[in-house]
Amino acid sequence: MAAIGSWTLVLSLVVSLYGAIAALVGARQKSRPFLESAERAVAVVAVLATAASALLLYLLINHGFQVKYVHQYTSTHLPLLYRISAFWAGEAGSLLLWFWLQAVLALAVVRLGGRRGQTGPYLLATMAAAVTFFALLLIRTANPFATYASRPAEGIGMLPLLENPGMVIHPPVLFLGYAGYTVPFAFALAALLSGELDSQWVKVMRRWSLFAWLALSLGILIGAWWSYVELGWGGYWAWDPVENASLIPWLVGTALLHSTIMQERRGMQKVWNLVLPALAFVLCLFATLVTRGGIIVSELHGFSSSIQPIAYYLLAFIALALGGTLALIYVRRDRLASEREVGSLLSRDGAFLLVELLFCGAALIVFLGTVYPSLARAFLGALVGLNASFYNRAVGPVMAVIIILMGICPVIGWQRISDKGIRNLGIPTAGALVLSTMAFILGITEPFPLIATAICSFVALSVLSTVARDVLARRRSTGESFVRALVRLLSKARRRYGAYLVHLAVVLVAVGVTGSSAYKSEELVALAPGESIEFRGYRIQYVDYSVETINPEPVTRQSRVRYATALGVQRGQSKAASVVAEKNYHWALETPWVTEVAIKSSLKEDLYIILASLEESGLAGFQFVLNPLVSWIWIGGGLLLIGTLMAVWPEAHLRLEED
Amino acid sequence: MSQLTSASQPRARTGARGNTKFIIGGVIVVLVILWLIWSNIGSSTTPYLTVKELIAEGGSNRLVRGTGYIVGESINWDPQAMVLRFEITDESGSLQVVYEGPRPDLLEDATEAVVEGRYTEKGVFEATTVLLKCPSKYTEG
Repeated sequence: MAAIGSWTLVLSLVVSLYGAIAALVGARQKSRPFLESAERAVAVVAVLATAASALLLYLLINHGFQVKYVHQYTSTHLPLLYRISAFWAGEAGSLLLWFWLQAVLALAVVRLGGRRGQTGPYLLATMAAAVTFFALLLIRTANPFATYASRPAEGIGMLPLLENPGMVIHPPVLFLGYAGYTVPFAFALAALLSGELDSQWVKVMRRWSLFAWLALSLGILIGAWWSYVELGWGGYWAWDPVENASLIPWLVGTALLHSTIMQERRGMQKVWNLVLPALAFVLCLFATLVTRGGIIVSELHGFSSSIQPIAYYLLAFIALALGGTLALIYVRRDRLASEREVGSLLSRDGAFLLVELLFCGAALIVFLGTVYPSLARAFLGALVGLNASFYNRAVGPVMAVIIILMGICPVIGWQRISDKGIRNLGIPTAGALVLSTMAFILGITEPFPLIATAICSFVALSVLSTVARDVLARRRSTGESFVRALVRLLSKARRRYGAYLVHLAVVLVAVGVTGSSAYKSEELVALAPGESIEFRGYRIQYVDYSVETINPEPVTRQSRVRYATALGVQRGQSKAASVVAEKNYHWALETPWVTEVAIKSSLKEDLYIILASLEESGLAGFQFVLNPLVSWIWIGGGLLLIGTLMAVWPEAHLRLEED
Repeated sequence: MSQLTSASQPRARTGARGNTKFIIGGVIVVLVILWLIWSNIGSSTTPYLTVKELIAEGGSNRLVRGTGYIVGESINWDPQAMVLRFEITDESGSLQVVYEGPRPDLLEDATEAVVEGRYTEKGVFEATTVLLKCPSKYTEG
């Protein structure tokens, strides 16, 4: 049965390759039959990819241990949910997921109006070529349908760290973002190949890039949440190469969101809108190169990793995509002139340019930091590590300026700042000064959190006062009630107010990051059962401990000894809550100890309890961590989702009307 | 509704002057970013040194990452004070490490360890982090 899977992949490779070639021939000869044939090929590949994925899912759910991938990542102890998520627990499955998303997206692009005009055929060809590449990757480097000669009785099982709801949704959402960035790239390449370089294509591309950006943003945030609740070190972001690799395309993608607006509204930045999609796309491939290619030095991965075959394929594809785009831009350079000059430096034009430059700069910083230890090893022969302080000190100021610009942008005009605009900055500036003075009086005296307070309150007040002014203006002219004026306003310019909402979401994330990094406090305590301790306003009692063996037979990665400590947590006069912090000894694992932390979360702060050690006498070592304001990061994520959906919505509506 | 004001009228060409301003601005931004990288990368870089190199260098109070293999019988864990003492070794000799914090999970004889911290004048390596190498755990994930 697994052989059917392998052959489905081979067939997908052939059909998608045919689709790409047919679309190109159709474009050159303006031949309708070729194009229709290419469209059918894309549809067939989407069906084939779905069938292959469904087959792997069926094998995972039904313990098809003769398939190596199923044997390696599942066991009979694993509940259904994690048998499903085992699909993306390993390299081959992740690539299959990416391939499937790519194939379905190719079909969606064709169906959703991608057929129109001169660009359509090239768009089709690029999407089909990307699908072909992933089919090739699967077949050549990581076939999920490889089998054993005979069926093992039991699987090895999933890594316990992946048995977490975050890991069920984090990879698919992240891969949706990665696969999604193929579409803006395909649009850019199609515009270049066809020579239809007016700004019409940017409108459609912008929507797709928003879609990919949303998926990537949520993927990164869910990954941070998973790392926070599961890895047990008390943090959500460690500047590990694998995390950085997903952040770099996000930074470039955010620059792209802004440059598309510039071209759409102002006819400017045409070259940016061709280069940034290509960069975002190849950086998504680079992310896979980092996680799977074995060329990046990572603390967690150790030094033993060697360059994997997949690295050569990815590097070749990256070089081809980037080189091709740049060469085409050079060929078409005469037709890419800006339609107008930028007004003044102090204008929205200027601010957009600055923001894009800063996002690209931040991407460069993270990129160089990620590859620096590898480059030092390769060229200088020096084994060095780069501390997180590098990123905090280099990226921090850049992000601060970006966030300030979010507060300035709404009140200044596209071409220059007016007197009215300067007056409108008065309220947020005064508010920021008042709030940061209050914060200072309340005891926030270090420069970093003080500056962050000023910046965040400035931006929040600026955005909110802009909306308030718009509502008042509408109320004056229409005589509607406040609520009605607000609702009408939001529904009329959803794209604009959606963007404001996303900016507010970023402020919330910044608040959470500031609070948890500036005021994180921790304490290491040894307690005997029954003892209790005061920690930052919490009364914590170590009640009892228990030891039990779970899934002893047959031995899989899910077999473990669970050492659990029960604790009672009380704040002030509130009722005591009981939480469990545990350590698990998975004896089938090479690194058998897995910590499960206890988190008591509130809007103000998270109490994070790590069971550090447990002696036979019951004496337990606990690490208590207080993380202020962490919840606001996740709330910001929710707001970001709402704001982005709001911004995409009216466009989707218009598209239906156009069709 | 600032987006509507004067946005629709293309401005008369201001010629090279308008662009120069922005090219200079862009160059300044790029320079600032390069400066941010350059000025921070040195102080954030910690070299990896083997036990042999650490001993040869002597107590320096410099932030480094020492690498070596754990000596099983040297492990001394005080659960009440949460202080861990152990030695790391390579073919040249061994080095005393002291670490205050939770006992790492995979502390066994001959495990490869990376200890980050300072090798002090007292001849003891005061570690702030102890990382034990676990290649398979993450590569498969």
